[in-house]
Amino acid sequence: MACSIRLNRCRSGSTEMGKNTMAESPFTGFCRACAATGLILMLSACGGMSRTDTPARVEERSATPQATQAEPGSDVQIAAYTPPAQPQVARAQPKRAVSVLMSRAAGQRDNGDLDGASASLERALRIAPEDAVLWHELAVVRMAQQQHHLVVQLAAKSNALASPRDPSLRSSNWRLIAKARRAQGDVSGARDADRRASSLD
Amino acid sequence: MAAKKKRPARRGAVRPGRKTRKKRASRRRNRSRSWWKAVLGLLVLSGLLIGAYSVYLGKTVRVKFEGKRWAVPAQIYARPLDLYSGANVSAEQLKAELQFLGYRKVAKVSAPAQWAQKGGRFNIHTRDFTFWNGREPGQAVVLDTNASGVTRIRSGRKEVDLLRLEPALVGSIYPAHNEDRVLVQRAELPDDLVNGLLAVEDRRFYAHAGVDLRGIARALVANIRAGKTVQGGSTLTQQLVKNFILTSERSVWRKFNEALMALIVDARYSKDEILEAYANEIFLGQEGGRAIHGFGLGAYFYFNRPLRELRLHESALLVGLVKGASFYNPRRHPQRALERRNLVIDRMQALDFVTQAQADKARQQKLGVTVRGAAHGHRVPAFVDLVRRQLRRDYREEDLTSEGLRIFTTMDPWVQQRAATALGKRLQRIEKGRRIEPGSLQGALVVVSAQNGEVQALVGGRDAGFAGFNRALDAVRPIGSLVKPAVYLTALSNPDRYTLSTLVEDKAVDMTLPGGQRWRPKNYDRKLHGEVPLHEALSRSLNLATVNLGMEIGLRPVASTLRSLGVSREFDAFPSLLLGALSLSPLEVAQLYQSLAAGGFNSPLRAIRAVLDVDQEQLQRYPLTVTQAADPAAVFLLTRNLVEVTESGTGAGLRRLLPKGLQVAGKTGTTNDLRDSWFAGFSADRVAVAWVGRDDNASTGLTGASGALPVWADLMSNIDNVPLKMTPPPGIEYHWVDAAGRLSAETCDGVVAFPYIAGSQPAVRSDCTEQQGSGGFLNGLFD
Repeated sequence: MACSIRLNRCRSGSTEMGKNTMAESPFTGFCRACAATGLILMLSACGGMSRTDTPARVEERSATPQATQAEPGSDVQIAAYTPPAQPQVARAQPKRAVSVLMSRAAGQRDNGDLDGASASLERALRIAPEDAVLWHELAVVRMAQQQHHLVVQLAAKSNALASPRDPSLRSSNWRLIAKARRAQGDVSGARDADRRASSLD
Repeated sequence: MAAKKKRPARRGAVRPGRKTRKKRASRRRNRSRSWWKAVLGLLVLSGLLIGAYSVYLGKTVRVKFEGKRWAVPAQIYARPLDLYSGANVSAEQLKAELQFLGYRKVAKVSAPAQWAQKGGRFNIHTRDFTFWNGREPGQAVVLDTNASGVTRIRSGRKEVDLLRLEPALVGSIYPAHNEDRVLVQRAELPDDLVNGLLAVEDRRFYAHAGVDLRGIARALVANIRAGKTVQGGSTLTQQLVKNFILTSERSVWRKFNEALMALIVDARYSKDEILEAYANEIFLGQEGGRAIHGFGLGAYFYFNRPLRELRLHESALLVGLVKGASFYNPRRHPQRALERRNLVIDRMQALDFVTQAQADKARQQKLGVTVRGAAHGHRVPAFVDLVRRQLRRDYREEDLTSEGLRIFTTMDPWVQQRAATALGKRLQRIEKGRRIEPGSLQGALVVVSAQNGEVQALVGGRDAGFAGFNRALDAVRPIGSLVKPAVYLTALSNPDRYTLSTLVEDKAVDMTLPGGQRWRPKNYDRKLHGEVPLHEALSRSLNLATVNLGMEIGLRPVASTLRSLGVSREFDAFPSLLLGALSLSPLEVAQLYQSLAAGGFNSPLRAIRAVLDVDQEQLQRYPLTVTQAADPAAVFLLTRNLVEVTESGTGAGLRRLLPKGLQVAGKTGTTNDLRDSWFAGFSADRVAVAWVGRDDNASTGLTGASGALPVWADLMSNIDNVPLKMTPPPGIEYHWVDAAGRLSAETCDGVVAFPYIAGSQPAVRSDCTEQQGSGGFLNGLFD
């Protein structure tokens, strides 16, 4: 089930975005590419392996370091180590409601209704506030509205939330930042952002 | 006038003698002719005078009717509720939301604004509503819920991906003269309401010309028979003129004016226009300094639903109130109101407006008015206050109180209700448990959405329905240890020097402050703890370690961190700043912690999403903005440390109070002499700040952990929260470290895995190291 959903999202992702956005968000290309890698990932996940692709050791390990007494007699304990949350896949499957709002936003953007598009994306962000793709999409809309300062911030926010396994999204964000900085006249800042984007490609 | 005409005729009836007949006759003819002339002249003159006066009155009427008739207060809406498969909305919350909206619970749903429930399944017919971003048509849906929230929504056979319930009307900004109203149009007036009005107040409304002579005669007869005033002969038109244009002074002259103006109004305007004006003008109740005007607001005030949805018995009650809104106040005098309502129904039946069966059914109904305080408006005075202050930046007060603006806010009525309950109940419990004088503790609670800075709830005191001192905005108090995260974040943003395992010195501090005052702060336990790891200094809230650390990194960088995290109030960067000699309101603290909760991205707190004008045109949107305030990697380390606070540090009391599995981060704060008790913290999706103190600023006897923390915990346990996932941002590595802060192997005793900004892990290795040594498999996870 997970496999089919994931591929669906890739497909819808690439159809939802209009031509002009393709240029701005090359990570749509990632979607197509990910179909292949995603498929492999999914097949392996569906092929009877555990849902996580982390070593099984994590689960064993997590219990080993018991809560340790920091100082004898002190009332403070250092919390036992729990393995940090880590993304199972590069992009989690969004809720259906979020996908609906994303495609609505894409349609509004294509029709030049940028206010409508940003309202739809903000609404989606209320449902999924930590969805890095939504923050990126909002940055794209603000780019079209030439709110360059905000673009840089929104793309940085998307980067902070993006999975380490999603270099494509992070690279798109850096390209947006580069474009916005260039528009603001910050040439060296733009070049730096471009370099970071290239290092992720 | 009729009497004047008759007088000469009567004189003419006198029969004079025959001799003088001719002469007299001609004299009489002359005299009578001059009489006639005089009378005619008088007539013309008075006609002219009345005419001129009518023209003058007509102008007054026109000015009143055709200008802007009423100052229409801005209406304030809560946030709309988005429903979709996977929404964390429990059956309990959904029921409460439907109640906020005044939906009727029925056995079988057949019309908008109705709902039915069977187990986890809800049948709901939503209302039409126009939002700032389009219209949402009403529809009938079947919605399934289970323990974790909404599982499925269908409309007929179609799956519904996303459903939006209209926002509840939660308040208004009414003008200084305190008239509050919600305008309605003639078409929105229910037939029952109009018929009731006609039956009781003005039977011949559609037949008379503004003044009803037959009505006056009938009233006169009735009053003479009863020996007192039992009936008024005023038409609806006269009542309207009286309330709308004239003062309430009682005099013959005013009565004359009223009648004349009623005739003018009736001649100039249609019956429907008159009815509409009447329906919007009528006074229907009083709540404190707020006067309830018009049936539109009356329906919300008494029944919490729009006028068009009222049933016969409800419309009849509103009609009954016309005669005397305070005398028949259904909340204060329910029996009186019930009798009056039934009288209205009797009259309607007598005039065949309703059938016997309809009338019988309506008479059997309870009054059905909402409890005081739960009705429209003013159950959230603190939040409305915040909205008003934010609006004042962009609008003139006059426009807010008169232009009929519609203001869409971020307020979450469910969270707001839970927050008010959490504060009120917990303070009561603390007072009882600690033998504190009942009612002496006060508090405030602010809830903010973590990632976008929307204010979801604001409670300004323990009696949340009372519009008094708004502590959430105006209780500006020293924040004590709540400031410490800013000190530690400043340190952790400098990974070359500080990590979570860096040792800091908890040793005595003795210095002279600018101004000559000597400063010798102490730890809460009055002990010195020597060298302690940085993370422990924060989780145990050690004052001396914090001051030493802060002085090492410098006051200026700490002050600058505070400013970028969103503190806009002026403050002095004295050493005492490090222990919270900085006064902020609970809302300002929420801004500070929002930046931390959002991974170092500050979003200015917003209470408003959009403002629409009276024609539903969008005037303004308040968009989502973010500004990076700190390095996300450093914020991640700090957050991990603030989680430790709630698990094993000064906030460990939370573990007993919060549901299992809800990982949160937070910080306690206590000020000198236990005057202020603070707790600020966050889950993955909500930031909340609780303050407990006294209005006279005396000691409460409470620490942050014993006062504000349980309030905070009660709130967070009673609303849905997403636990912190602690997903590390790029650039974070985990390493195993022993108690002395040395790199160790993961198999060694007493080691703990700490996150580090890549490259900042300790260089010193413990004796217990293996080949695979540092990090091991962990780092493989975050390549």
